[in-house]
Order: sequence, then C-alpha cells, then structure tokens
Amino acid sequence: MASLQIDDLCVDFGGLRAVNALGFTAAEGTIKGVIGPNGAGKTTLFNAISGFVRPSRGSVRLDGIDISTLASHERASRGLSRTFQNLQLIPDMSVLENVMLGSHASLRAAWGASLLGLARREELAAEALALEKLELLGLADRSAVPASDLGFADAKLLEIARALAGCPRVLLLDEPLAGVPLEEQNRVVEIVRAINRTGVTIVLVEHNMRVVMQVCDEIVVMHHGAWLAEGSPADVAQSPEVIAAYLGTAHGAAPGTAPGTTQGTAAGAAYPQTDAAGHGTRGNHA
Amino acid sequence: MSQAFSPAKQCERRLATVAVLWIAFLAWPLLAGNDYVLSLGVYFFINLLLIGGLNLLMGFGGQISLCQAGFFGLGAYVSGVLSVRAGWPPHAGVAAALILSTVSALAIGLPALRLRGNYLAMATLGFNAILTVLFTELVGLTGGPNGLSGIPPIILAGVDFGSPQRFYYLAWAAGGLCMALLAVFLSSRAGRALRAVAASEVAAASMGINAFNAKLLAFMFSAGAAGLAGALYAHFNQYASPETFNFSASVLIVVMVALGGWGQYWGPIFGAAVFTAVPELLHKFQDAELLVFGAGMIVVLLFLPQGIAGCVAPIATRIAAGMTLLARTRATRP
Amino acid sequence: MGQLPNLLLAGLSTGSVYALVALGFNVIFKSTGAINFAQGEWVMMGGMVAAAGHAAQWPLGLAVLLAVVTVMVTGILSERVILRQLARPGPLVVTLVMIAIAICTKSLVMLVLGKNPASLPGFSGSTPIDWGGLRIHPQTLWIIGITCLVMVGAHAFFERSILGRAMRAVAAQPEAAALCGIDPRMAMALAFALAAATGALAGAIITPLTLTSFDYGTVLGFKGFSAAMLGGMGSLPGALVGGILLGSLESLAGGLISSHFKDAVAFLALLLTLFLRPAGVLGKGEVERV
Ligand SMILES: Nc1ncnc2c1ncn2[C@@H]1O[C@H](COP(=O)(O)OP(=O)(O)OP(=O)(O)O)[C@@H](O)[C@H]1O
Ligand SMILES: [Mg+2]
Repeated sequence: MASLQIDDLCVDFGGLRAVNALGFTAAEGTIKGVIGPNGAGKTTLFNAISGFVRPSRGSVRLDGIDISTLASHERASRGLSRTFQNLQLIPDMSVLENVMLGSHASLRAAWGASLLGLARREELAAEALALEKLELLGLADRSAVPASDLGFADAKLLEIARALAGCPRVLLLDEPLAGVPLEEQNRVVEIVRAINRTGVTIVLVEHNMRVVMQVCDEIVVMHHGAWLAEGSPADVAQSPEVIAAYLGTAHGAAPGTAPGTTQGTAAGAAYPQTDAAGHGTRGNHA
Repeated sequence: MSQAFSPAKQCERRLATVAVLWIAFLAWPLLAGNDYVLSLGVYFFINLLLIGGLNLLMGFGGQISLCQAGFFGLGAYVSGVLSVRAGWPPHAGVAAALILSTVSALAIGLPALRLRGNYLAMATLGFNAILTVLFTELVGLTGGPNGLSGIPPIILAGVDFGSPQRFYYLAWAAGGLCMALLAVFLSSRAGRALRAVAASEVAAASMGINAFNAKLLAFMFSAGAAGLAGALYAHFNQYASPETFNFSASVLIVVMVALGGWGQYWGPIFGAAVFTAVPELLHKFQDAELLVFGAGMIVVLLFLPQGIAGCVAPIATRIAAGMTLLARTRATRP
Repeated sequence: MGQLPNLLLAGLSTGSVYALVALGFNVIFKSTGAINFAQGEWVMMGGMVAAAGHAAQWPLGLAVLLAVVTVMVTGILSERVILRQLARPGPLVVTLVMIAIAICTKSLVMLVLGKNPASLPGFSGSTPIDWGGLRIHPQTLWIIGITCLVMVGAHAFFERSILGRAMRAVAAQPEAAALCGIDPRMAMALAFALAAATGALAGAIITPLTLTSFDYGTVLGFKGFSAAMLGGMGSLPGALVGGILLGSLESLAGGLISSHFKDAVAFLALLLTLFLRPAGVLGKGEVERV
C-alpha cells in the first residue's frame, strides 16, 4: 500500500545525537525490522518518523511524499500509525472507546455534525470495526472495562488493536512482544503477519531475535543512533559488525544490554535476548 | 460486565434519562408556592448552562477557564445593551450574545491553547479582569457600577416571557438542550477526541487528533453556553450589574464544576443545584458561604474525585435497575 | 521636572512588589508545575496580619515578622495537610486545589480580621523626600531595597546553598533526586514556605502605600502572575525583569493615558506574551506548542 523512506535523519538531544544520519527504506507491503542494543535510538527514530520529536536534519517520506514538516496528528491521518513502547492508552476510557479513537482520522463527521448527532451511522460502523479489531486480538470480552484495568500484556494488544482501527498504510510497532507472556507471543506474531498480508507496511522494533528473524523481510541494525548493517535476516545474523555491536567488543560493553534469558534462537546465541523488565521504564519521549 | 458496552447505547440512555428528568422538572412551577421560589428554578437552569459548559472544557478537556462569569456577563451586557440602547428585539440580542461570546473565546483560545499546559487559565483570568473593567468603566453603555436597568423581557412569537411562570419554560428548554447536546457530543467522535486530548496529547496526536482544535471547540462551546446563560439572565432579571460577573464569580463556577463531579456527565446538575440552593440555605451566614464552598471543594478534590455525581450516580443506577427488575417480575407474575 | 521620572519611580516600586509575587509563583511552578492561585491571597494576608499586629500596638518590625511567620505557616500547612493527601498530584489537580485553598484563605482572613481596609504607617514615616524635583515616598526606597535583598538572597539560595540546589534537582528530575537521597516532599514543603514568606513580605511592604483589604489578593495575584509570564515562568531573573517591566508599563499607562484602564495593561501584556513569546522575555523557549 505504501512505502516509508528515511533519509539522512538526525535527532539531537542537547549534546547527544540519538539518531545519526540514518537512512533506509521499508518497501511497500513488507515487514522491516529495526534492531539494536538498548539505547540505540530505535524509539527515538519512531518518534521522529511519527512527528513527536523534531529531527535536526533529514527527511521522512511516505509514498514518496515528504511528511517531515507535518504535525504528528497530520501524519497519523495520512495513514501512519504506531504503538508505543511505554503505552499511551487513555486510562479512564473503556477498551472499546480506546479502539474507536484509533479510527478518528478515518471518520469524516465534522466537529459540528458530531455535536448535533448527525453522524450516528458512522459511529455505529466505527463501533463495529472496533469490536472486530478487539476480537482479532482476543480482547472482545473486555470491551467494557476501562483501559486502566488491563494488565500490561493486554494493554499492549489493545495498542495494536487501536492502531489497526485507523486502517493504517504504514504501521510502526515498538516492541510489541515486550511484556507479553511466552504462550501468547506466537499469537501476536501471527497477528502481525496477518496485518501485513492485508498489505500494510510494517516497521518492527523488537528485542526477541527469534521473532525478528522469522517475520521480517529485511532488517536494519542501529548502533549508537547510526546505521550499522542492513539486509535479509540471514545476512544480518552473520554480519561480524552486528555480532560485535551486540556483544560489545567493538565499542566496549554497551550499557543496558545485560544478557537475558537465552532461548534457542534461529540467529544463534549471538543476540542476547533481553527481557521486558529492561524496557518501557523511560518516561514519555514525546 | 456481561453486557457489551456501546457509546451509542450510552448516549441513548443519557438522553432518555434527561427526558424523564426534564418532564419531572415541569412540575416545579406547580410546586413552587411563589414567584421567588419559582425564580430559583430559573436560576438553576441558568447555572446549569454555566456549569455544564465549563464541565465540558474542564472536566472532559482538562483545561481551566477562569472567565466563565466573564462570558456570562458578556452575554448579559451584549443582549442588554443592544435592546436598551439600540432598541434591538431581545431575541436578536440573545443571538448576538451567543455569537459574540463564542467569537471572543476563539480570539482568546487561538494564542492560549496553542501552548501545552494550563496557559488558558491565566489568559482567561486576564480576560475576565478586562471585561470587568469594561463593564464598570463604559458607563455610557453599561450604566457603570450602578448597573444596566430597564432590560426588556423576551417576546417570542407573540408570547411575552416577562413573568417567571413563562420564563421558567424558556430556561427549562435551554438547560435541557444543553444537556442533550452534551450527551450526544460526549459519545461522538469529537467527544472521544476531546477526552483523549485531556488524558494524553501524545496518544491523541498518534490517532490523528488535532489537540488544538478539540480544546478550542470545547472552549468555544463553554463560552457560548455562558453567553446564552447571560442573555437569559439579563432579560429575566431585567437588570445586570458588574459584580455578578467578576473573577470571584468565575472561581465559584469552577468550584461548582468540581463539587458536582468533574468530568462526570451528571455533575453539572448537582453543581447547579448546590450553586442555587446553598446561598439560600446560608442566607443568615452569608459571610461563611465562601468558606463552605472552598472547604467543600478541597474535600471533593481529595476524597471524592468524581464529586457528588460520583457518589449519587451509582445509587441511582442501582435504584433504576431494581425498579426495572421489580416491574419485570410483576409483569411475568400470572 | 516632568512627570515621567515620577511615573517611572512609581512603576519601579509597584514593579518590585510584582516581582516578589512573581518569585512566589515561579518557585511553586517549578516544584509542582501548577499555577498557585493562593499566591495573591498570601500577599493580601501578609498585609492584613501586619496591619492587625500594628493595630494591636506591636512594634512595626515585629508586626511584619508576625505576618511573614503566620503566612509561612499557612503555606506549609496548605502543603502538608492538604496537597500531600492527593493521590495523583498532577498540575491540573494541584492548580484546582490551590484555587480552593485561595478561597478558604480569603474567607478566613475576612472572618477573622474583618472586612474593613487596613493600613500600616510607612516604615520611615511618610514625608516625601524631595530630590531634585523627584518626590520620593520613603516607603518606595524600603520596597526597592527589600526587593533587591530578597532577589539577591533567593539567587544565592538556589545557586549556592545545598538546600536550594536540592530543590532545583527535585524540580528538574524528581526520581533522580530521590535516588540521590533528597526527599522530594521536603523540597515541596520548602517551596511552599518560601513562596508564602516572600508573598507575605510583599504584602507587608506595599500596604503603607496602598492600604489592603481581604479582597485585594486576587488582583495582586493576577499582576504577579502576569509578571512571571512576562519574564518567563520559572525563571528567577525573569521574575524581577517581568515585575519591573509590568510595573513601569502600568504606571506609564495610568499616568499618560487613563487610570481607569490601568488594570487592562497587565492583561494586554499577558496576552501579547502568550502570542509572541510564550516562554517570556528571559525564558529559553521550553514552552511546547502543539
Ligand atoms: N527525550 C529525550 N531527551 C534526552 N535524551 C533522550 C530522550 N529520549 C531518548 N533519549 C536518549 O536517546 C538515546 C536513544 O534512546 P531510545 O529510547 O531511542 O533507544 P531505544 O533504541 O529505543 O532503546 P530500548 O531498546 O531500550 O527501547 C538514549 O541514550 C536515550 O537516553
Ligand atoms: Mg525503545
């Protein structure tokens, strides 16, 4: 449906260059993985793509059109959806309404019309669509509870449902598996694949290497904010630079990459699999 | 939680409850023994417009306005001055009041709402201050500190709404309309957007919601409701004076939003009831009124974050559920 | 000599008081993110208590001290007894609670000290000093002097003292500060004590020039806030610059245009700031636009 193209992107926080001259393309209808140790700048990259931080240089193109000057809500209404590593739900709204929020941009009722109740049919359609997405993610039976009542794993799924309700063209997923129990991870992976099969271009940030290797068409590796390697999962897995970056031999041990539980992974033990506890503790980046 | 939640259903339930309540309110003129008690009913609806409008902005939009009394006064003076000095028919004055208060909210909101944070509170505080200066100093138009007197009553379609009995129905209709609009709005796309913006502008923006528009719309609605309330007040009272519309009055309206139930749909009904009734009950201890309101607000903010509505609504729902159950069992009995 | 120097001098003295009020706003804004609506009431209370002390035959200095201590205790109690109960003290809720506290403070002062305007004699009499055509009320010198002292003291406190630095740390990074062993609640209580004390002092030193009454707090609070916004919310030098700028503008507008519309100046200044430079004259642009 749409491609996402990043060019020469730089993001600076004071003296810290969190994203450094990064460029890559997520081709239409593919799943692009973005990996890198903790603090590599993946979330910051997402924030820059979706318009929550201002890059100091570079451009973001959606389907060839430069969207770097648009406000974040305008980017979302052009079909660029995302989920958040640290969750951004509306806690005292029901689960159903949280998902309905996702379809905000695709509904057309003007502000005045909704004030006068002239958009009932559209509202009902949005409700049905939201329920459908909740069913897809297995949350339909919880549609009435406030989002704050959901556990962390369910809340992550809810974020995906909400992003889907907007019928996105490009979907940015920031660590969708972090905090999701092992037995449910496969379901999430299947859902990601199913979304992709409907033509949605997906950019996936994830620390679970087994999954990244399985589902991604291509992977770009970030290190200290910069492009380190790019290619098919197999190529990237064998790249010596990547292995060095993860094990910390190239630049000294990267802080935060404590080797976690090592499950048998397709990519071998070169990639430490960090657990959820290491993520999502930082505040709101935007 | 077996039954599925649906915003559309919630809206219908609210509208039905409003309809029942408003039919019940029709009985007030029959119950009220004299014009004075009857006029309290009118003030209840006027206060409902003020508090209901502000609750949308404050309770659902997370923005404080400290100019609700200022817009109230703007409505009163615009409509009053137009009919007294320029000879406009009162209903045209009411329309002008509604429009002007909404437009001035637009003018204040444009700079103040672009900023993240509570800058609207201060911009509106200042606007209320400037309005008070204007009401007092433009003596030629407003009558200055002595107030504007001789405001004519509303005559609509040949009906003279000069008597409290007749005017009550006008205020009744305006209050009901406001509650109905709020019910529809809150479960609509725009209402959801506003609530999302109040909770997290980041989340809202990532859904494609323009936070600025949402807040501006709520602010304009709240100011418009206050302007309408002011125009109604002026033609009912046939008099307006500056101190009714000063900053302290604005603060009291904020207090009433919090007391009734901040961000609760039914909150303004309780807020308006308190605002109308408590000064009457404390008539002998007028000086203590402020203290009672201030202390009440502290108690509510600390211990009852959902206000009076948050305490009463669950009980009311239970009673309603009990009554339907009762009705059903009676119906099925042979 | 023309009117202008006298007007500017008057502006400097009211501006100094605005600066003190703005300082209080800034201290609390920094530590809670909230707008402290009680600040103006504390100023009013300072004037009222000092006047009451004086009326009870206390020596002037002691009456002023009494005012500062009483209001400071009020500030600390507001934080300890009320704010600390809040489950989720976000800026909006704290702002609302401060509105409620302001209402309570105002009505308590009215109930205890009465509704009549109160006055204080000038600290060094009230015979104007004639200085080359410039007529100076001696209280003006007191006001300017005390404001300078407080500003220098506040600067030294926040830049040099351990306590002041701890407060800044808590304001900037509460979690990190807590990890370093700084108790954020202590910092909060200190912020309220400081804000209340400077407010009370401002009220006590302006009363000889203007009188005071239980309902003066709102206007003073609004002026102080406008000054804080004008200078840059949260900035210490901003409070001084904003206060003096606003005081001078008001005095000039009142003298050269019309005293009736003097109060509108603060509002216009505020609106223009919001429009053109929301971070204030000295702010560093940390105000986010949406
Ligand atoms: N708002 C901000 N202000 C200052 N520094 C920031 C900000 N956001 C992120 N950073 C810094 O930028 C760097 C990149 O952070 P980022 O969150 O993008 O990493 P990440 O790759 O998503 O890490 P993780 O895998 O832990 O999620 C880090 O050093 C972080 O501390
Ligand atoms: Mg991240």
